[in-house]
Amino acid sequence: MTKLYKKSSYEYISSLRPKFQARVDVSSIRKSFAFSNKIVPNKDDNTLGTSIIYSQGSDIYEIDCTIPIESKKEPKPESEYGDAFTGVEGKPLAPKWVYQGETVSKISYLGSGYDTTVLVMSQNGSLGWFKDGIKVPFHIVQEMMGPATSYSAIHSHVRPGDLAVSDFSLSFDNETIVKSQSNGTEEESILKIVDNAGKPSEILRTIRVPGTNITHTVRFFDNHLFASCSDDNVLRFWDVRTGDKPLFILSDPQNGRLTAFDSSTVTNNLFVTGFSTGIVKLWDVRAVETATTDLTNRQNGEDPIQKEIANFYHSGGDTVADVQFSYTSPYDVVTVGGSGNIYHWDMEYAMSNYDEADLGNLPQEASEELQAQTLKFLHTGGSRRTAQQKGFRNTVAYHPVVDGLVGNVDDDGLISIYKPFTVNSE
Amino acid sequence: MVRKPASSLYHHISSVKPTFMTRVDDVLHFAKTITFRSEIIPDKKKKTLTTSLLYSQGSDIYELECVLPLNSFYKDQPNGSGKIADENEEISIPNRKYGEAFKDIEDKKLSPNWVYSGETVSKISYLDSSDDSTIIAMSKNGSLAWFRDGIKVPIHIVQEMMGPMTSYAAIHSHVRPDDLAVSDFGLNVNLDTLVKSQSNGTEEDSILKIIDNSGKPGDILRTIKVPDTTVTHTVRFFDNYLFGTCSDDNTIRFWDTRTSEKPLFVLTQPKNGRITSFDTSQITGELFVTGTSTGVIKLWDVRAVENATTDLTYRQNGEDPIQNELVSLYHSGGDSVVDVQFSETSSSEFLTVGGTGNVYHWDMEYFFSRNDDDNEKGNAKDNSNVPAPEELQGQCLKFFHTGGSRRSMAQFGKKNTVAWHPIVDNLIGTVDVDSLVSVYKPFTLSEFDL
Repeated sequence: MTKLYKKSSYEYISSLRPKFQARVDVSSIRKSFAFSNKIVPNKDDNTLGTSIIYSQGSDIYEIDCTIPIESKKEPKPESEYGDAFTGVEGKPLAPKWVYQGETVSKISYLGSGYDTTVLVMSQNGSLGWFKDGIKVPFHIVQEMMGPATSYSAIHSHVRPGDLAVSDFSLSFDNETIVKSQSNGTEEESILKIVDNAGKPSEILRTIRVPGTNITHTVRFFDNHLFASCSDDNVLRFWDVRTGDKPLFILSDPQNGRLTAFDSSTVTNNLFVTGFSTGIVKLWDVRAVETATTDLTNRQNGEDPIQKEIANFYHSGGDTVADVQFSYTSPYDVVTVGGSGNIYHWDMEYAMSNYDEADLGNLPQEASEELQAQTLKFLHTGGSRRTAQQKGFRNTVAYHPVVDGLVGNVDDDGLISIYKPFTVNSE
Repeated sequence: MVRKPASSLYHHISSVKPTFMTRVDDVLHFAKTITFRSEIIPDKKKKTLTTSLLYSQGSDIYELECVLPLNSFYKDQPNGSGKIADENEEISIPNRKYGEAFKDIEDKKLSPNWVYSGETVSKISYLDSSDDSTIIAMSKNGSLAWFRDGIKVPIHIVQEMMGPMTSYAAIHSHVRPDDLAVSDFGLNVNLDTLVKSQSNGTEEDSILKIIDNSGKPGDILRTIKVPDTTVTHTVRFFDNYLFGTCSDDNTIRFWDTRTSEKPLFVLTQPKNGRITSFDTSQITGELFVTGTSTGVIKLWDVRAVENATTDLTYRQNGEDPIQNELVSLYHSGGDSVVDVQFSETSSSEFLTVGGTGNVYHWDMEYFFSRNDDDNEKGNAKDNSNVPAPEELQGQCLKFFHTGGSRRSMAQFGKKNTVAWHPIVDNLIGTVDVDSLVSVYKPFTLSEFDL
């Protein structure tokens, strides 16, 4: 049973079941969700206009929404839904961009200030660059597929979804992309370093990650350092400028399969991992690296002793399907459970016990007190009524500018945006 | 005959022969380099502009403050009421008199700000706006040191091995002491990556090292071998990732710090003598200049060089790519080119240093305006628009700096002894072999037309 530690109420919440010009069977199509970084304040009625980038199959939509500017001191009664989507409700949507023949699995919004507005990944690992006003991609990195290639393994009916796992990440200056993908039937996954500055879509280098079938997550820590997370439960840390060997690694074989990983874009040092057993761990990359050179308790060639700062759990063993750091607050994290629930965490309490100057001595705390202090909010709701796996990656996103604003899309196509209202238990 | 293209008048010129706290026996014996700090302090009351030079002599690095007359640099100073300075205010006139920029330090004995013990500094780069370090200095054997204001010793180093037991012994042998001790480094535009080149001793390889300058300054990220070259004398970045290296096989190789061990493309120039120098324009991110031992200077566009490698129109039989420069210039009298440097404030200006020690100032504005797309009447292959070499030479060579102590026939021009100010337009600093430090701003003929 899911136990609630805090009363769940919202500062505001709005939902939309979008209508489309083309006829679609929504539930069978893969969806992903992102926010744009547009914000248009309207002082007359105290609102803020922003937009959502929503993909469904090969179609990508931009949906405008309005949220209240002033944060209300009183929580909204749960039954009352907001009117963020009144502008678009009932209007059939036409896709802004189309990635023909592909199924979009992830969207990154770069902003209209850039040459590229959105960068999109398809399920087979291809990348498409889109800009405002042009419906088709203006650059692509196309991965081979079809019966004659090793990629046919991905499209077979035996394990269709298993190997079609890919991911990408952008460096902080948006000049470099790293993408991960499976290498088909071979026992290897591949990382590709792709240029996004001088010649967008040029593949600069390909790195093999031996002994892994799938590298499901890649994330940058700054302009150069990135980590990849593979199905051998190993995080490998790389620098885009170094050779074909990782700088250092973090192996975490316990606690089940490592399913999710995200780095903080605010602190550059913190990252969070999530496991199939529902465990969530907070780490400091500097401590992880320092441990690899610390030989104090391992003179006989043992593996490095790498410890996390703290760990938490999803109640009821709810699998961690995705983790995401906030872009605006250093210690805010959301995790997505296999149940589809969204857990909001504030790591500040855990960080208060952690001395950054003493990287060798990590608290590794995991108490009920910590759990209670850290888990701030739980979002259920929507259409989550069955026992099936509902939580998917890239279906939940933090707004890049508006603090605390989170959006998600449900399996049945219901889009929600909300800001939790949390009260500190005193 | 050397034709003086423009009058050698200066808006301003000042020189100083610095004196030191410690006894320096033979100043000629030491290697010297010069560069500017980017900070400037304008003082409207005193009508001065204060900046400082970083000067290295052997292992010591000094900071020389120079106080320049403000009106030599900003002619149209609006006064308090926002009007243009009135007539009776002193207007800068070009003169042959030496200025007094170094008056304050003329008789002061200098003590070094930083010391790179046991090494001879061959290049200094000022790290603008970095909170970790103030400068990076390279020593003759290829070692690097990071210094910070207020701390006399390096805070990070990348030490290269040397001594009789290592392959570096070759460098320190008496047979060819200086030939192999050639190294260089380049910093990318946002200063977070550094690439250095060095010889690999006796082996027929020179080496590039990609070094971090952001998270962990001094961390060697990767080593790349440049096969069949003994010396790679110049490394320069175009942007944050693309860089070019120039080696003694007369080949410029272009790399991306993120790619693996092969260059992206190459430019080979077997003619016109040895390529001795190479610099990129960080303003345009695309232009670069090469200089050769025969005095030929070429301006290139890196996009055109790259496009030529994939253009197979005239070379179906596997010939080498046809890579052409935008324009070719020369030093009169075959004065070899020892250094080229793009201006950090103007996209069309660069300077070249001759083996004689002369400094040549070039401005390609004339060439660019002739070749502007808007002026293009016929098709792109119509060469009628390209000016005659003599005309181009005359229009582009803006200034010519001799002077100082350059009286003998020995090779005086050295790398890293001339520097542009990174902020102030057209302010140049030089150091001569006898330690005479000069700063000047040229007065070019074209300004009479204005």
